[in-house]
Amino acid sequence: MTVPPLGLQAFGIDPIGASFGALFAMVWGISGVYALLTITAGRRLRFWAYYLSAAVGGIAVAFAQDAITFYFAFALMALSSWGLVAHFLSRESLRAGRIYLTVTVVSEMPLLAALMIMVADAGSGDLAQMRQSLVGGGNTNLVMALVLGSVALKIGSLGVSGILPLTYTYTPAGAVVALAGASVKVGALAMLRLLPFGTGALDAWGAGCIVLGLATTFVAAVLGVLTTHPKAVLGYSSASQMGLLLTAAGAGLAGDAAAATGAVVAYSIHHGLAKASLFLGEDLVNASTGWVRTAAAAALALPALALVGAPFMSGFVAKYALYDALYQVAGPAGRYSRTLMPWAALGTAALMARFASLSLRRPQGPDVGLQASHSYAARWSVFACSLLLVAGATWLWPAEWVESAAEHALDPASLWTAVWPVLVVAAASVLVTALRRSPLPGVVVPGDWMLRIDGLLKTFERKPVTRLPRPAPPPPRLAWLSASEEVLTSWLVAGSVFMLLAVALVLLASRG
Amino acid sequence: MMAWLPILLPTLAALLAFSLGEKRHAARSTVTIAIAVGASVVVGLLAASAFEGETASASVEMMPGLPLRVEADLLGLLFAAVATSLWAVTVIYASGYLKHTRNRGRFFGFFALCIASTNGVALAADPLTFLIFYETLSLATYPLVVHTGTSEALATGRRYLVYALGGGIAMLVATAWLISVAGSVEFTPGGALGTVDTGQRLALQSIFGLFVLGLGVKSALVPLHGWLPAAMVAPAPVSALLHAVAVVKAGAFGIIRLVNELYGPELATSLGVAQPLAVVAAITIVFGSVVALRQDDLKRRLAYSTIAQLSYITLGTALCTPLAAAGAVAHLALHAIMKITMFFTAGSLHETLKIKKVSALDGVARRMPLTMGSFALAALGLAGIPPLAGFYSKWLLGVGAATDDVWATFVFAASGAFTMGYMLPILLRSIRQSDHDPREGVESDPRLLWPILMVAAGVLVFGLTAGTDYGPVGWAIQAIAPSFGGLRP
Repeated sequence: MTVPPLGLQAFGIDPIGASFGALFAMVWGISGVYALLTITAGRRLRFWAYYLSAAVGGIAVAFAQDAITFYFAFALMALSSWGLVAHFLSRESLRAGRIYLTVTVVSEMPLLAALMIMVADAGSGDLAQMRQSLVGGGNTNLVMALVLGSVALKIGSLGVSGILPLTYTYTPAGAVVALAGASVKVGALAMLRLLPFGTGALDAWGAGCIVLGLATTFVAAVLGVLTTHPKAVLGYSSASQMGLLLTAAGAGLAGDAAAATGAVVAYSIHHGLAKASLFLGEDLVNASTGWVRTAAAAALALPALALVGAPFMSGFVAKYALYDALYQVAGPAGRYSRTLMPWAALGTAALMARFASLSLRRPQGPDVGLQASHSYAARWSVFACSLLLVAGATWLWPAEWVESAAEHALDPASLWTAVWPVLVVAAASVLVTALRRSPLPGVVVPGDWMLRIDGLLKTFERKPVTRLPRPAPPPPRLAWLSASEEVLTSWLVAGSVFMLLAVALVLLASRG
Repeated sequence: MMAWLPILLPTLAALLAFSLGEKRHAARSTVTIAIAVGASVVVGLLAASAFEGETASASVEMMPGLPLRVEADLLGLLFAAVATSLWAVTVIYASGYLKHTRNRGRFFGFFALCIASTNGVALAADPLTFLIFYETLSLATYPLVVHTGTSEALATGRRYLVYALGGGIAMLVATAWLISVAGSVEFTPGGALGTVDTGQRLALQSIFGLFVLGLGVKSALVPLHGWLPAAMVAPAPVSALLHAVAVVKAGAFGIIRLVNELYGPELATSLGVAQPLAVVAAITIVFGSVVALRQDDLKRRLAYSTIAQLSYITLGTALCTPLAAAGAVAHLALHAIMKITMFFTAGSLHETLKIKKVSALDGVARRMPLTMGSFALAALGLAGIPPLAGFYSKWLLGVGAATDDVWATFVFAASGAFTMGYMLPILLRSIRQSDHDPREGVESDPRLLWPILMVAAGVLVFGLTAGTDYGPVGWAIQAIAPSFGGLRP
């Protein structure tokens, strides 16, 4: 017998890991500094215990080179983040924490199974070897389904988009920056680490990812425009943008490996930094009054425009990397996805308009002299740093996709593609504002149907004993299970059942 | 002679405990702990020489032609090491837990006899020796289950005896039948029945079934598990050592010997007996996990968790692939240390705060942070979160299953989620805000706290050292390798 190496030993730096590692380190760093300035005394120990564990996992995951190390870092980050989501211990944040934890535990199950099967097939725990042995092994489709299923839950794909707004809405600003900017990008990293790109054998899976990704992009945009809280809008926007990342991964499965890898990395960096900046700005707008509030809101235009993909912004670079990858995809999936891309930008622009409207109309708190304090100035410098990163990082990143985008930057057709969604939404916003005084009411609760998971969890817990006499409760949903357990525990039944099983076993075995 | 010591030393401790009477508590504790530590050292020395390839063995003639044989091989020593070293820890815990109760001499005496029998089960070199120690284990446990003497305990004790002796009869028939078919065989890595006439198929299948019936009682295979949740009426140290480590693992260990070293993985597969066993084990895993979700009594929740986790061992063994078999052996050791941590904690909560229900746990982590921190470590390990101990056995089991039986990989992965499902509510409740009076002090009696910290440290350390040769995981791999043609780098 041979045993694949055990233990946490395989950390290493490769180009993909370096890019993601740099992104994660920057975002967790910014988020941490902001948390240092905003988390109030008395909560600090609780906050940092979870934050630092999550940060260790969230940064280490980029450098993990084998299955066990990868799973360890991933799990450390995901489980520790519960403490960040539930930080305020309010009813809503505890509920968000419970649902987050449930979804996390459920999503790690297929990931673990996929890793186990891949290691068994490859005879090695090395991620690169596992990827290579996937095609041609007997379990290709099974592993693809498991990995994509797990990632889809992680990044809030179609149907489960609510998990991102639900967690972001109740998480303190100093942590939500990291969750939205870095944690969710681990889903993108997982796709690069576990899915074999450019093999030519997984075209159908690629097309499926492209379709699912684009569908997520549009549906999440609609949900986001209809939701009620500015942070939830950003959450739905994340789900929508992660849909584009899934599309990019689909392009890798069905087309060219290098172009798609570039697209996934570029899009992750762009979106990670822009989202971090948006959450910082949102918190500043909320904490400020007077003209400073207006200034903060105005500064938010930079990351918002970047997210939409306006010319010369980071989103412009990332979009072109994505276009390049989609051009390598043959067949209708590639063609239609390229046609739909500008409409995705329209959705993003609408989300940003909704975000601006909701965050500006959020009721202002009383002026408590916060703006005169040192820490308030420091908050602004953190926000300014993030703005600089949004403006510059994607251009300065040492990678090929920058050249491709630079070639397209002054091309009139591509400029127009990038500009018209912004103009349409701007015009529509002006129109709506002119026609009605109050903002559009929201109908989608942050988290949409996923809030019901909490009720589902409760059916498993026995009701606590109450002192007041009550009418007889309806039988619990799993009563048959307890009842069958009562029957099974009697010795007579147990013995007879076992003897029957044994006879059946002998009969079964003697046939074969 | 060396090979007898792990059995004789606890027997000596039992004799001393009985003869010291009911009054001299300090002397009894000191003697027992000293002997437990000594026995652990002996097991360690035996293991050191077994790692070098020199296996100690010994035999004594009971009747002409019926020898009692023991052999200190790596597989048996791993189980003996777990039982003996955790015995030492449990004695410290029990001396704190039982400080207000009567009949402590009887308790410690039978406790030591249980360990002697367990070590006998671990080191038995042939099925007959195994059977004899297996039966003495059943009998030595009875006084501990009924220790409190309440009518509930006595009823549970009767139930336990019916199950245990019923299983014993099946074992007796199986052993006798086996000897008549195959002669006096010894456990041999890779299988001892190679020479048996293939015309005996039906007999061999029936014998396997009878062995599983006997071993399945102690390893709590559904539907033979009924005694285990009921036995939670026993004091916490009994639940901890016997219902997480010694008694239940004797059943699981028997299945490991049966499949790998009596029938051998190849014969068990070709006879078609391994697959049905795997299916029963998988059903047990799912059943135990789902029932555990709904238990409000903390010890009962842990008991159903044990039922599920024991079947990890059975399922891994029944899959008959090298990595799954290694994972099964590793899980035998690692589950022991995780579950004993949890039972210690449950006992400590009951003893210190009179809490028995999960729904009453609100805020206990603020009152007993170290205790509940240890519990959390063990619970997350049990759910298979790396780098804690439980991850590595589950990893080997899942990877081993994936080579032939992918469905079993899903059982392992899914039951990790179930484990989270019944452990996380405990952890989340324990860190809620609470109104415990700070003047009550923190933590509990140091004799309860320190054993918990020691075993919890093991959960972490054995996980972090999983990549080395001499941790439980590396030990398990080397112990099972001979059954699969040795270890290749």
